[in-house]
Parts: sequence; structure tokens; C-alpha cells
Amino acid sequence: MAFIDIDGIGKTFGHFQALTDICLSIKEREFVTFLGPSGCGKTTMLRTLAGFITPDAGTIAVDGRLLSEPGAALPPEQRQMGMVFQNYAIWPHMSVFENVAFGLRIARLPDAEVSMRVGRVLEAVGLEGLARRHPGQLSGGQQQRVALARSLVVEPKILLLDEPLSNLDAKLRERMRVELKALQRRTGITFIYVTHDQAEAMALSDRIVVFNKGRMQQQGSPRDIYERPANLFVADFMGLVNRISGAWAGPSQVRIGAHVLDVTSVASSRTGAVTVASRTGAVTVASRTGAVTVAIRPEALVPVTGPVEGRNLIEGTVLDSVFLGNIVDLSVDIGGAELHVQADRWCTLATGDPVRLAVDPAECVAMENE
Amino acid sequence: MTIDRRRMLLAGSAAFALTATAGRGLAQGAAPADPAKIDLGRAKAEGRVVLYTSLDTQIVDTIIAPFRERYGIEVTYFRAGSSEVTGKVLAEADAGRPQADMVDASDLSSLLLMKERGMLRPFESAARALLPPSQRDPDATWIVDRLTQGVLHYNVAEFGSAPPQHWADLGRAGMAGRVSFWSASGGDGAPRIFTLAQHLGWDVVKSIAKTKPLRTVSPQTMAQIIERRERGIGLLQNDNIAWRSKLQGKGTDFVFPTEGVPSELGACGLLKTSTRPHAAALFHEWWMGAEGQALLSKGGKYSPRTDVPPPENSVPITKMKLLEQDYAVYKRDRAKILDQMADVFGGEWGN
Amino acid sequence: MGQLIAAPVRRQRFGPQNLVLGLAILLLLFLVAYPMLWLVLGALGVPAELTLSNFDRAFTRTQNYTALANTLYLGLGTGLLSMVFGVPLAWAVARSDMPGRQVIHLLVALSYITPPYLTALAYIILLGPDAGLINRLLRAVFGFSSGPLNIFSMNGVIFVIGIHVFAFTYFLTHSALKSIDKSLEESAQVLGAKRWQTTLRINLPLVAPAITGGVLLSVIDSLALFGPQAIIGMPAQIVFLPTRIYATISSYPPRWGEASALSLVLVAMTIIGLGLQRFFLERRSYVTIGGKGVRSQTIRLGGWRWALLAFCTLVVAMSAVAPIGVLTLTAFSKDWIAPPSLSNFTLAHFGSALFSDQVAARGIYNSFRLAAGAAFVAMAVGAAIAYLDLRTTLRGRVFLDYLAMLPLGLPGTVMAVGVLLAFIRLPIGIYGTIWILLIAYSARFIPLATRSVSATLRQIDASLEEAGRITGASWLQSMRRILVPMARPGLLVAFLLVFIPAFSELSATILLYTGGTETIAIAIYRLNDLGQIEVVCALAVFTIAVVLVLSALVHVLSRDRTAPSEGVG
Repeated sequence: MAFIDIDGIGKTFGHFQALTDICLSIKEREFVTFLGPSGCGKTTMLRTLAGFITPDAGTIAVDGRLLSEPGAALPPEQRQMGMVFQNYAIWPHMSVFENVAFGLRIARLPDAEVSMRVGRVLEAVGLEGLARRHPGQLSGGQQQRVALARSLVVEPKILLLDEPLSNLDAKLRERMRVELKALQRRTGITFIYVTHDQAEAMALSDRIVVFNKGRMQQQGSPRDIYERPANLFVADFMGLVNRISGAWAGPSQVRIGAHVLDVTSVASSRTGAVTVASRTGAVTVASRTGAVTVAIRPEALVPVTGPVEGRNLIEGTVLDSVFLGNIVDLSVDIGGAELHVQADRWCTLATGDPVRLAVDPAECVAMENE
Repeated sequence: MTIDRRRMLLAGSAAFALTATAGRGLAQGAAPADPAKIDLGRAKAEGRVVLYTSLDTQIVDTIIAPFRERYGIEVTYFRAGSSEVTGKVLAEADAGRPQADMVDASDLSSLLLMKERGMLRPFESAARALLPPSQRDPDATWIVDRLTQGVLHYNVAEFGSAPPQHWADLGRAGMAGRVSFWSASGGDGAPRIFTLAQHLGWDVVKSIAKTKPLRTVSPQTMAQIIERRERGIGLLQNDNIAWRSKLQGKGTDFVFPTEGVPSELGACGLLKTSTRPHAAALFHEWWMGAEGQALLSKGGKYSPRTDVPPPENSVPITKMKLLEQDYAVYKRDRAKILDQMADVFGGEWGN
Repeated sequence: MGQLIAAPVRRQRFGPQNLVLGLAILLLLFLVAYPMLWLVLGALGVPAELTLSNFDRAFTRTQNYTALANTLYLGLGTGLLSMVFGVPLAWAVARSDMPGRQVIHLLVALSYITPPYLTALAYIILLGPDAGLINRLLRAVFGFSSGPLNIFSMNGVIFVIGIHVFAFTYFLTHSALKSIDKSLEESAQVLGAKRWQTTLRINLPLVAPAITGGVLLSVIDSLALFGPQAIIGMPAQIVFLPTRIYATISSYPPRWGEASALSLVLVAMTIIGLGLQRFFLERRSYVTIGGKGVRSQTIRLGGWRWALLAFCTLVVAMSAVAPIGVLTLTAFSKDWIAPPSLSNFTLAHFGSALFSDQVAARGIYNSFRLAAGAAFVAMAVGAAIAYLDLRTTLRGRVFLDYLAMLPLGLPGTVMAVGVLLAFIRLPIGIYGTIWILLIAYSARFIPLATRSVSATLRQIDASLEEAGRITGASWLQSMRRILVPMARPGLLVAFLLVFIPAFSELSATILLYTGGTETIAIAIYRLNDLGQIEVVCALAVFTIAVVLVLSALVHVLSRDRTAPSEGVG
């Protein structure tokens, strides 16, 4: 049995279907990120976990203990979780010390222990010496640390983080990422993290769960999700991607203009697990006829001069070439479609040059049109 | 102020709980039927009398003060115009929340209505023997406690040595914009105007109304208007108010027209629903007694008691021609009469 | 740990949150919905019968339809006056370089917080047709033979109410003018518009909805102002709906049905007005409301600023300085007709008002405790309703919010009729006690408290409470230790916003008070009936002083209100 069991959670607000059939198992000490655009349901799911929202369908259990079921939810204060809010939610009428000590005071711990534990946790988040300050006197980053300290001091088993870094400037965000990851490793707390920033998600997570329109799209390791997106939405959301329309030309071949590409097919199951179909056609995909879209990451396309064993080769003409320092951005016309290519910085192709692009069939993911 | 959760919780429940238990006195023993049966100990235990009155508070205060001192019994009063006092007593009876122990109104028809509704408790006051039969209820539910005559109240500077002497003078040419009259919105100025019309004819009243008299809500405010010479003369002013104004040197004087002055019988009675019957009866006897009535007279009112002299420096009641009001008719036709007032004078009469 | 799935979940039905909020809902229904229900039933003749004859009487009896027509006329007149006074003053203070703008602004505020029945009393002294001080002055200077101004007339009523309600137009227009960004006007001027063209073509359309909204609020308020309608209207022999309703009940026998039907007519008028007002103010959205960032342009008037100042001074002199001045003077004079002098100075009237006069002393005590009680109840219910609306997903919370706003459309007289009918036959003895006043006041002013608390709650992010919950605090603990302390200044403002009008409430009280439950307004009204003008003025000065101090406190608190939420993100 997993540590957190989310089974078939659904929630509607009026006519708005906020969550549909969310099923997820999370292991202890895992760092899981809910990723998706705003309004995708990731925050609703987090708040349902916290007990602020009562689900209409499905159950949530932690460590074998049922927390939520349709129409009923154990209140947040009885869930032994911590939460860090997007706006930090630091209480302005209390000092840093009192903010952090709040949970311990509620639990009626003796003063000495409160002081000791608050001191320890403030040190852990790098706020030693600021205990007497009031929130108004703190920077955004410091407030963030107060919020973290406040949720950690009660030693929760699970820490929920709702876009905690989105209000910080870029540099601070980078630093806090590293610290958060280190903190999670050190404490062994299960982190459930909500963000709309895919780079953040990839940098932090053991597992990413992609949400869209209230449904889980895919879950897996950052690499899985990046390299084998379950659908066009995930492919798009996880980074730049070329989406090329074509037609099935064989069990795992797609015709695009004059080219026929060997492709990899994927299909998502209900739980978002991805099944991969190799060139040998081990798994059948629902339809092998009609229109299909092939997704190829721009960095997977490599300009080559000769044939390369085991790669698809695509001929085209350079439309535009932009030197960006670490890479060279190319637009390539392949007859009927335009490809975005990220070549290494030694590439010297110029507008009008003919080009031959090589790409691993594993990088050519064929998807049903949505 | 601190708002903590206990108070939040309590706020609502307290309102319910307290209102449910508050206010209700314990059931009383037998109410005294005459002065001999008043139990002084009980009266003091009851501790308080609630009086609803239309008498001027300055007089009420002087009557209450020695009573309070003598018996240690508090008298609280609700004071408003006669019709409003009556309206309130009736409304509270409707509500089953009668507040008053004793009611006093300047207009006897109010007491007649309360008697008709069975709200008054018979009480054989010792004062009954000193009043003519027409001024006390044969069933002893009410007794007249004061006589108010409607007089011509005028500003001396306005008229000099030749003030109007007759009611009809107020309707003459040249009086436009100089006359004032009073009635609160409930129509309590109506009885005496009606009496005047009954005895002298509606034409007199209508001719006065044509001068566009300024309306005030009470005799006291009318006195103010005349003292300030906002208007020169007041129709059917309470004799005691005119008397007081003159006495205080406010530059006014008053006339009892020889064709007659409407005399209004003020009356009082005890309410059946009173939860303090002994204190109320005790106060009733003080109010109607020689001392209470003397204080009333000192305040400028005529007492119905034959043994109480008229107010200082005033015309004895026997020297005036009184126009008596037919209270039974007024009570019966009140709605129609108020309509008539509204037609003649305009404005609000509670009709 | 590690047990199999049990079901400890369902047990929140009767938790403290539901209990507290449920109690507030019950209280709201009890205070507002229940009396309103009885108003409708009463108009239909219940419990004696079921009939429409009361409505028939309301529209066919001369006394009633005259009152209706007078009330409408009054509304039109005060609306017009409100615009004529409010708009130029607002423009002068918001946009011009007229000297003394701050003083004018404060004096408008002063005329707004002065209970209008006190202004009415003052104007009887000032503008009585023959003895009024101003009339005497005018006669002495210009040699009129009589008059020339008569406060006891329809125009008199319109004037006295107009100089109170124009503050609505003033404040709304003022804030709209303040919120127009300079750039809008500058761009018009760059395009070659002259200054007056800018004012007419750019400023006026931008603030027109605010003006209309303010005028409508003035109209609605003036329909309901029993005090001046009675104090000036009675001598003028002009009957309005509130005074008519009062008369049908305070005469005997009380005619409940007719009063209820007339009340519903009055409610219909105010609800229509409020609907229109909302419609116009919602159109205001295209005005650039910029808060602190708005730069507004000051217009230099040259010599004209003195003319404008003269006009503004005249208006505030009439609306605030003269009435409060004359009340104060009278309160301190031995003989109020005589001119002020040291030998005519006395404090005796304050002695009577505060200590020796039974009704006055009781009135002051009752007003304080009633205002405090009503402020507390309205604040608590308002807070709960605002909380329900903003923080929960309860079905029907929108209805509750509307219900909490409904009393805005109910004049005090109407509220009193509803409350009387509702509690007159209820076995719990509320009628004839101070509780019925507490109910009427709480109900009347719940909207003020709800709006105020709602504004406060909107400034406090829900995550602050949620952070408390997830850190282990129960709902009650998070209320007590997080939300209430943070909202405290806002709650205090809500408390005072109710306390201030409740302290001087007249129109509902006059129908609901009884011996022992007189308030300060009743003492003023009744003692005025009895001609004790000096004591009345002493009470008036006392009332204005209390209201003034508390209003200043509200101002200070509201200014500081944003401080605690700084740094919350």
C-alpha cells in the first residue's frame, strides 16, 4: 500500500468540472510535482489533499487512514500536514517567532520546548537572529523561509507547497529551488509541490504529474515526461516541440510530404502511465489509419552531411538562421512543413542552404490528433 | 473591545434567553378595590409605578417627587399627546405586553374606549365623593383628574390693548397669517375644536381655517410660537400653558371668551393588567388626593375636586362659561370628525 | 499508523463553525426576514382576514395618495438640490485651486453626520416665517414687511433635507473626480480642447454615473427621513409617507393594515431607487479608478475662485455652520430669544439634559446601551454573513447576502412597522421592552456592518486562516487567533458605523419606544413638543459631539486599516 492513495477524486464547482477521476499513489519521501497551466486543477487537488475542499467523488487515504470521501473530509488541522502558500500567508500581527511557534502553541507544548524547536527550525531555514522581527520588515525571500519554518516546525509527514517560488525574482528562485530540494532530502518529508513552471518541476521532482482541464494527463519521471509525452498537450507544455501533421504509412511509419519517418507511438492509460510502442510494433495503437501528428523536440534534429545508421533523414532548405550563443536556431522548410531546429553553436548554415536533418525514431513521437 | 468566540456564540443565545424570561412580573395577589385595601407593604415591595400620561412633564415631575420621597416608590412615565398615549395603551394591550399601571389622558373619550374594551379596573377612589357625578364613572373605572379650558392666547406686543375677545375674531379679515392652532398627528387637538364647532357652528371654525393658521404639535410649542411672535394669537390654547407663559413674563396674555370656552375633561384610571396594583392604587390616590391635586393646580391646571382652589391669579371655573364636550358622541364619531378636521384644516390628523 | 481504512471522516455537521454561522443565519432571518414577512402579511390583513382592501385604502384615500404625491415631490426636489449643491462643491474641492478646500470638505462631512432632525429644529429657530433669526435680519436690512422666507412649506422641507442629503452627491462625485487620471484630460487638451470643453466633454461624462448615483441616494434617503418631515412638515400641514404611517399607528385605534400597505408602497419606491442607483454606479466601471497612483489635475481659476468660494461657503454655512451654531448658542443661553452675551450664558440646560430631566437622562443612557448592543449584534451578524459569502461555498449564501443588504431599502418607519407586527403577538415578551429597539436597530444597520466587514475580509487573504488550519488550529482557534485579531480595526469600524446612526436613531424609535425605553432622539423630539427648546438644544449639542468624536475615530481607523495587511503579499 502506498503512503498516499488518491483514488478517483472528482470535484465540481457549480457547472465547472474542476477535477475528474484523479488517481495517484505517492510513496513516502517522494517529491511529487503537480504541473499544469492555471485553472488545470493542480491547486484544487492540492487543497483537496489539505482538506480545504471536500471531494464529490473518490477517496484520499494517507498511511491507511481515510481522510476524504465524497461529501466528507477530515478538517485540515487533523491531517498532520504542512502547507506553504503562494503568498506565504505570514500573519502580519505576529512576530516571526510567534508565526513559527503557532502550531506548537496550538499543540500546547511547554514554552521551553517551543523556544528550542522554533530556534532550531529558524536556523535550518537561515533565519537565525530575525525571530523578533515583524513580517512587514522582511523581504520576500525571508517571508518565504518563515512560511517554510512555520510548516516544518510541527514535523509534518507531508508538506504541501502551492507555487511557493512564483513571487520571488529569478535569481532567488534558483537558489530556493536548490535549498528546497536539499531540505526535502534532509528531512525525508513527502513533498507535494504545485507549479506551472516546467523547468522548476523538472529540477525538483522525483515525479511529475501533468494536469490539464481537471484531468491527469501523464505522470512519470521528468525524463519520461519530456521524452515520451503522452499527448500533444504534455509535449507542448514540457517544452518547445515541432508538431508535424502526417498520415500513417505503416504500423510505425508516418508520411510527411515526401518523407516517410519511422516513429514511436505512445498511448496513455487511465492512470497516465505511458506505454511505448517500438518500431517492431509491440503494442497496437488505437488507429493506424488517417491523420496523425508527430512531435519532435527541436534539439533532437541534428544537421548531418551523410547518411546515419538508424536515424530518420529529412531533407530541407534553411529559411532562417539565428545565432543565440549556446545554440543556433534554424527554421527549415521540409516541403509542406516547417521545422524548428536547435543546432549546436558550430553550425554555420545560412538562409537558402540545403540541409539534411537526422533524428532518432525514438524522438519522433506519433500521437493521435485531439 | 475584544470579540472572542464565546461572545460570538453568546450573542445570539443571550438575546433569545433573556427576552424569554425578562420583564414578566410574578402574578400579583388580589388588587385593592378601594383605598382601605391598599397594602402599603406590598406597594413598597412592588417598588414602581408606570404612568402613561399626556400631562405636561413639568407638572408630572412636581407631583411625582414628593410621592417618591414619601413612599420610596419610583414613578416612571411615558408622556406623549393624548391620542398617542391612548394608541400606545391599546397597542400594548393587543400585544399582550401592557406596560402601564395607570393611564391619564387629556381626553375622556380615550378612557371611555379603554373601559369599553374592558381594560380598566374599578377602583373606588376617595376623591369620588368630591366630584360631580358627570366627572366620575358610575362603575368607578375612571375619574376626571383635571379640567382644561381652551383659551385665546396672544402676544401682548402684537395686539397691544385691543386683543381679540371672541373666537369669531380669529376668522376676521386681517387675521391671515397671525393665528396658530395645535394638534399632534394623532389628532389630539380635535376634541376641543369639535366642541367649539358644535356650540358655535362650523362656520366659525372654517373662517379661522381660512386664515391659514400655523399648526403646531402641542400647546407648549404653540406657546413658544406666540411668545416669539412667530404668530400673534393661538386658538384653543390650554389655559394652564397660557397661564404659565404669562406668569413667566414671556409677553403673552390670554382671554376666556364670553361666548364660552371648550372644557376638556382629562381622566385617569387603573389598568387591569397592572402587575403592581397596590403601588398603582397608592399613586392613584396621591394623584387624585388633596396634595396631588394641589400640586396640579399649582402647575396651572384646574382640579375637578371642589376642595382644591383654582390656579393662582386665575379665573375661578364657576366664573367662565364652559362649552361641554359630548364625549359619547366624540368617541362614536371620532373617525368622521377627524376626516372633517383634515378637510377643513388639511394636514395630518391620524384619520 | 498502518491500520486499515477506517471512516473517521463524517463528524463535522455540528462543529463549532456550523454552530456559529448557523446561529448568525438564524439571527439574520429573525431580525430581517421575519419582520418583513409580517409587513406583507399585515398589509394583507392577517391575522384577522385576508384582503387587498388595505392597498385599496393606500391608493384611494385622499390622505394617503396626497402623502404619496408629496413624498415623490420631496424626492424630486431634494434630488435637484442635491445636484445643485453637491456637484459644484465636489468639483471645487476635488479639482480647483479654490482656497479653503479642506475646510469645505470637513464641513460637508459635518452636515452629513448631523442628524437631520436637529438641522430641522435649528431651522425653525433660523427661518421661522416671522420670528426666525434670518428672517428678522433680512427684514431689518431690506425692509420686507413680513417673511420673507418660510421654513414651514414644501420648499422648507426640501431645503432642510436637501442640505443634509447633498453630501451623498458630493462624496460620490468628489471621489469620481479625484480618480480621473490627469492623462485623460491632458490628452484632450493636446488635441486642442479648451479647459471648459475638457470639463464638459471629458470630465462630465466620466463622473455622470457617480452624480446620478449620488442624486439617487439623496432621493432615497430623503424619502425616509421621518424627523425633518415631521418637525417641519407638521406645521406646514404637509404629510409624507413616513409621517402618514406614523400617524396611522400612533392614533387610536392603530390601523396596522393601512400602515403596512403604505409601508410597502414606500419600500417599493426605495427599492426602485436603489436598483437605479446600482445600475448607474455599475456603469462607472470605465472611470479609471487608480487608487494612490492617480494624478489629478488642479485647475487654476484665477479670480473666479473667490466666487466659487463664496458659493461653497454659503452652502456649508447653511448646511453645517448655521444650524449647529444656533443649536449651540441656544444650548448655552439662559434666554434663547435674547442675543448672546456673557450674562446670558449658562450651563444649566446641560445639567437638565444630562442629569435632572428624567426622560433626557434615561434617553442618553438608553441610546448608549442600545447603540452599543445594536452595533455588536449587527457587527457579529454582518461578520458572519460576510464570512459566509466570501469564505464558504454554502449554497444560498448569495441570498443571505441580499437579505443582509435588504434593510438598506427599508426606511426606519417601515422597519418599525414590520418589527411591531412581528413581535406584537409573539409569546416571548419583546414588545414594550428595550429588546424591540435592539432588534429594530440591529436589523436596520446590519447592511452597514456587513459591507464594512466584507471590505475588511476582502483585504485579508483566505490563505492566512488556512495556514492556521493546516498548522493545527481548529476553526475556532484560527478565528480567534488569526482572523479576528487581524480584522479587529475593521470590526471596530463596523461597530462604530452602526453605533453612530443607532445613537441618534429617531424614525423607528418613535414607533417602538415606551415609558422607560426613551432614547436621546425621543427625548429631543418629546421635549421639543413640550417647548423645552433649551434642553433640546443641549441634548442636540451633546448628540452632535458624540457623533463627531466617533466619526473622527472611524476616519482615523479607516486610514490605518490598510497597515496590517502590508507585507502579506
